[in-house]
Amino acid sequence: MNLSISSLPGMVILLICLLGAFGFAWLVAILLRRYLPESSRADATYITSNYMGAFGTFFAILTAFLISSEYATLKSAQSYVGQEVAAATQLASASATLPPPDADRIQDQMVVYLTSLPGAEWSSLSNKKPEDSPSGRHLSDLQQQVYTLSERKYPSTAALSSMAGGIEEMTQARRQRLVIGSSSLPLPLLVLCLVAGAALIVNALVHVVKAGTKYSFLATGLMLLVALDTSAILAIKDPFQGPFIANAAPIEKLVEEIQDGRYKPWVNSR
Amino acid sequence: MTKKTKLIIGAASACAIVALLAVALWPSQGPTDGCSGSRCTTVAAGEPIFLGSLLSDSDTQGIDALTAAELAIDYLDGRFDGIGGRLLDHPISLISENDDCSPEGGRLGAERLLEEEKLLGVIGTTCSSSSLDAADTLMTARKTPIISPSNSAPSLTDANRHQRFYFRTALNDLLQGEVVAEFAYNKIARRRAAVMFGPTAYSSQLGKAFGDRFKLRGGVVASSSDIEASGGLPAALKAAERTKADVIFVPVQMSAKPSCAETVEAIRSSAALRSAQIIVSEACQDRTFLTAVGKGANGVYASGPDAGDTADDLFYQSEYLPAFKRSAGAAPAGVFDTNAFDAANLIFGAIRQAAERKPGGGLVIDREALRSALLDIKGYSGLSGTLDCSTTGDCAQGGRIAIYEAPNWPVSRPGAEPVFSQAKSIAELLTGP
Repeated sequence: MNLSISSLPGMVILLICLLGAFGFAWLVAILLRRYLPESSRADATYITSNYMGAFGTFFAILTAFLISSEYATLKSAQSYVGQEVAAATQLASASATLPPPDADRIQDQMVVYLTSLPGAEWSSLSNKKPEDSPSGRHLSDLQQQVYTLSERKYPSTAALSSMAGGIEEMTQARRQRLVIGSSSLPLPLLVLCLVAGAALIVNALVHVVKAGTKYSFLATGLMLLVALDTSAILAIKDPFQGPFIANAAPIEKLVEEIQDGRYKPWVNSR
Repeated sequence: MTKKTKLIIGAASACAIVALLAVALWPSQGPTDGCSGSRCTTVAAGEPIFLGSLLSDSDTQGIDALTAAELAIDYLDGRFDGIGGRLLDHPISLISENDDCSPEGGRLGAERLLEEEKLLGVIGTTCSSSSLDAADTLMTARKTPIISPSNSAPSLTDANRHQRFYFRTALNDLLQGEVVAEFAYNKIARRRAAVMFGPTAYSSQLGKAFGDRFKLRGGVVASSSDIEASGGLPAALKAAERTKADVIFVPVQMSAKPSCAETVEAIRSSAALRSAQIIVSEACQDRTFLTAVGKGANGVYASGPDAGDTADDLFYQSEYLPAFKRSAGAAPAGVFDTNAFDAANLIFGAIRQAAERKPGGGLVIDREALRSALLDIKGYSGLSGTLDCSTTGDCAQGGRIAIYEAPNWPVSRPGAEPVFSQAKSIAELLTGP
């Protein structure tokens, strides 16, 4: 199991980031009070004021880039899930024209594959070990079932072609998902973002040390901002694990429909 | 900065934190639980799903049906390779008992099957008498669906006495009685019928169904004799001779004593009945009959399900029939094997619909849900025909009954053309004259 910070619930990630930001600030404040002489504080405030805007902009650009890039990855993952569900629906519908024992078997195998996705597959993708997922084997079994049928005389050409199209699209969408799952957040950018955030906090604290504690809200606001942005990046960084993941509801809905007999014309679903 | 500004900043920060917390803690769907108590059966991961067969091991219809049920299990993996497939990732354990074609045999067989507490369904019985007030009652008491491939006695699915968990894929004999009467009265223009039946539910009820429909057309049932009653077959022959019957309907099984073949041979040996046409029912439409009676069988009509649609089915031709021949060493000797294949698949389908899948691979199956799943079947394209299971247990709501003339019976000459064929439905007969 992946124990990275992004696997934790959103609230925990936020708390860790808040603790990190405030802990860092507390340490910096102690160091500043101890090692920044009263006589140098005015000069220090002057110097940090000049850097404040640059650090703020740098931090904002980096976080915006990371959040939007990770959000785009999440949307892509979601889009491939949607494509896979659409292809699976096509396969289920086409299988309904087969003799009932064949349709039952194909749909059973689809349920096995689809139910393995939000659990085992998501987990193995977030661990960057897609080879550990049983879904690949389940999909391969399903392909074999479809290919075996294509060698037989009784299924109609239309049904076979639709089923072949469905299974092909499912395979492609899964491959794309694997590619997304294997990509990761660029670590140097994250480090740069954290350094920019840390610099912003230090700058703000230099001002507070000079102006007095009644201006501490300025630093507190910045600390909150850095913590929230960082937690957002960490929470969204893995599309298959953590608080913001590819939504499995369309898969679960399709599984429910198959199990209810929606794709078996002989089952009078209530 | 004013106090008000500080408050606004503080409130905005708090709102942001609350919004993030809400997203993180959004409730997921909770677990659902439905089935509990004795009506539920739990199948642990890896444990087999227990099914039963209650078929005659001495009647070819029963032997064929068992082969077909085993083929249905074999085909769960999509191949007729002799290796049983799995259902919902569980192997199937088929427990076989003999129904002995008698009420006592049906009762004893059902009791033995029910010793397995996790039994989820039964394919059987071969003979109507083994089900009627025997297996059907016992299985219903234990909420275990039983689907017969070959029971055809009308009373089994009569609304007044039907047992809730009893179903059948065989055609109700109301249909066969009607079509045979139509054939005898209008096609071969016979007016005086003799019925030679046995004491079994199947035989007596089919004989009566034929007689009722023949009389409805204006014919006369000149004699109606139980060939196993006192006087036996000779008395039945004398009655037919005395009443100058011109058509004799023999709804008797090959396993009966006297058998269908013996009865036909006796009729053939009677000079007074030489011109009478003989019609046997599907229980006698069997290769063993043709072998036993030899040339004397020529000209004997046999009624039964029209094999034409099944013979044209590509799955039947290219997959099922070759597999049956490999498994049994010969083509089906009777006419109910496809009904048994369908019966087994209906049970598999009902288990799929009713099973609640547990994490790890276990199943919980509500037996009432199993019955409901069978009742939800509408327009199932089976090998034996289209199936719609009704609350009175008939899954074959109608069908085509054909009359074949020996030696051109489909059991010995696949693809044989019937001399008469008619499609009828139960609803049509129950609401019609």
